[in-house]
Amino acid sequence: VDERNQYLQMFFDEAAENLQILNKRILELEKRPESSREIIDSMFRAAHSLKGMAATMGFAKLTELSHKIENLMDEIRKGQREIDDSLIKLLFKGIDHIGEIISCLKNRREERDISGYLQKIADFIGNKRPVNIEQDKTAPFELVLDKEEIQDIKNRITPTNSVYRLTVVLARDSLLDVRAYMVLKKAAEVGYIFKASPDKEKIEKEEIVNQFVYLILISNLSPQDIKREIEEITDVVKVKVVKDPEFQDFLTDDANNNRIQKTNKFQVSPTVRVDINKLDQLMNMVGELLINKTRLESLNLDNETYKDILPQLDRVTMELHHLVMQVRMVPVGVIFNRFPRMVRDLSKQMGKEVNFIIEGEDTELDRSIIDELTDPLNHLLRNAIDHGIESPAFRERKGKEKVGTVLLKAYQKGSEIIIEVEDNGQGINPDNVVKVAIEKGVIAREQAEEMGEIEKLNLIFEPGFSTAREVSDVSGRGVGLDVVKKVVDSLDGNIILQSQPGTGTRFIISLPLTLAITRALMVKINGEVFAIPLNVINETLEIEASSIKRVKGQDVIVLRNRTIPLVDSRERLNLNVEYGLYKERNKIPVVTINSGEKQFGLVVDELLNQQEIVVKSLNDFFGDIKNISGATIIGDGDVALILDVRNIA
Amino acid sequence: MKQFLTFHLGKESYALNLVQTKEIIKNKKITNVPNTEEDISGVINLRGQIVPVLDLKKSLGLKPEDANTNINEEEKRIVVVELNNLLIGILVDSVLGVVEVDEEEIEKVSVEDKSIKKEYIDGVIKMDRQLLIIIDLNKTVFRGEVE
Repeated sequence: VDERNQYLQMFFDEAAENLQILNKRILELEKRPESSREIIDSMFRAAHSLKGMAATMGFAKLTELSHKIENLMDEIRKGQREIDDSLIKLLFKGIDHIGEIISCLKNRREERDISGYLQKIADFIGNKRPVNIEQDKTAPFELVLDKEEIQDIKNRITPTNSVYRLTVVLARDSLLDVRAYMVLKKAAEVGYIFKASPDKEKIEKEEIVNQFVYLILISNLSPQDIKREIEEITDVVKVKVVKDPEFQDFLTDDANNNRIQKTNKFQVSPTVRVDINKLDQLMNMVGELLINKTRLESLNLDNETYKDILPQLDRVTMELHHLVMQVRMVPVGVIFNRFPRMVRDLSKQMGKEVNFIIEGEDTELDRSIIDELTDPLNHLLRNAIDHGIESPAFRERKGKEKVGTVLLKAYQKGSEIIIEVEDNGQGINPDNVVKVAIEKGVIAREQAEEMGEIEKLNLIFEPGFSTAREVSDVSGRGVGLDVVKKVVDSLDGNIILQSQPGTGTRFIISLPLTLAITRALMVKINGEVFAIPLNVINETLEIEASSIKRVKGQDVIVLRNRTIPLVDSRERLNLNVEYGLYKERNKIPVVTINSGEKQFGLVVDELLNQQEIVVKSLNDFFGDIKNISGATIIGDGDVALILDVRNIA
Repeated sequence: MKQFLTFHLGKESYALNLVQTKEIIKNKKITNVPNTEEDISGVINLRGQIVPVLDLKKSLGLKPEDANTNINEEEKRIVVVELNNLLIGILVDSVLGVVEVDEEEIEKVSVEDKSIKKEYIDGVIKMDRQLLIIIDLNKTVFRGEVE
């Protein structure tokens, strides 16, 4: 049973991959039907391997469905079918069914009944016969080779020539027999015709000739050259030249070409699929190692071997850590590629025209972070289409391009990954936000008067806020941007909103590269050690009490012409002590923090060292704790809490 | 037969279902966690795992005069229990031992004249003129969720 489970997981992983390829390719096909060849090839392969996998696992319906889709691809591949809306629709439907079946299987339910769809696809293949062949009773067939013929061809292959399959389409109203004859003649000039349909004899006997001429040709010319030669013949509408797959690997198998094969082998390094839980365990172990290394370092022994071994241990630990982190990294494309389909469907449904652009899909992020991002990004993209992009007519009236643009972009900036969701829609008006916020009781009217533009915009992240007047089926669902912000916060990230009424909106999410291990500054507050992740720290200062000024009842310092409010860490942690005591000291340690667009100085008791910390979540028992994001274990084996400074101000 | 772990809180003796207890450790450095409830002492490092520790006296609402007598710092222990798949440490003044009791010996009576809240008591065991109060840990620890 275990073995099957193991394979089952592998099956689901691979099926998901193939499904994603199919979805992506259909979208491309819809956009650029003219460059279908390569797209269809890749789709065909995906459907084919899906079929193979399903058959191995004994999932009958899935096998049948992928087989049908594979057949459909094959028809398109052979140029027997136009790519039109109904075809795209049918393909999408099919992919959806595959997805449904897979999720049924995942939940250990029966495969969903899909006989309706199978009938549809059968009708489609059956009814709409390939491009106009009314006179055709001997429907176009591929040339089939028997064993002897295959061997015969193999004997003829040399390193300089190749075996091609040619499909030549003639104009319907031309003199078919004459043209077919000319095709054969020309083909004989550029290579050796191994087999043809119709062949010379047939044409000479004036047997019925249809628009198609099929050839198996052995030639030392390139496919492009062959194509060009044949296309010169009058009334030839289309020529397709493909290397016969049957013989493509033949030469590389050949003993003479062993060297080529060898070099090829070295180009692709073999990969292994690993359960993410195992990686988590591995990361935990590295964390333990790190903690113990720090403990060892804190011994500070006066011993030669000790002093010799520490730097080495340090190097090995860091490299190990780095490697494990690398292994855990996945390109954001894994989730980005899920969105084009959603964007397409949604914009169609909303009657909007959207050009969806994805950038930086190769940017890598820790697997555990990526998994959490799907929902927030989905939400932001839906918002962009639903609330951001205007209707085509409205856009034209405003002098904008009819087609709106939604950009999803990822890139690395220092030790952070930035993900942006941008649209060139109607933007967000801060005053409207305030109005709604007051209506919904998020803030009081008086509060609003003191707010700046940015603060007003940021009200949108408050719980209980949603600018859409009616809860639409699209981005409504009772979840607002507060949920998005919550997820980003929980990942130790940050989200910024920029918007220009009339021109567009941009959400900028910054995330740490990895969650598990990070560098932090250790500080002491009221006798306890706390960790502050370095990625949010701007700088550390020691200020004099005399440099503190008071503005509107708030202690501030002026730093390079910027006024920075001071925040007493003791107060934010609700420690049971008197607050503001720091002013009685002559040197006050301050950590300046960047939180979104705000900056503030956190007053602590003492600045300690910097070190790598292993981030551990606090036991589920606690739920969310205000201003604390997690815990870590420090040198002496005690627990130090990690300050969630971004929201502390 | 049912087994109970018995311990002291202040001057009274209490009992916990032994099945719930995982281990007993010596009182170690507890890191205070700000912005949490009054009865949470903080967290400890239990072999790499962060475990919350509960000050059971505060959870039960014992009166200071009951709670603060008969305390020897050396004898303090943290009893690690598993509740709802969570590891939780319970701070006690000293651990007495394990007792085996017939189910019939457990009395479902309410304890008068004690500061402990009734809903946290799962019964009492009378032994050698001594009264052991059985604590319903689930109700004590997750009272917020239960109410």
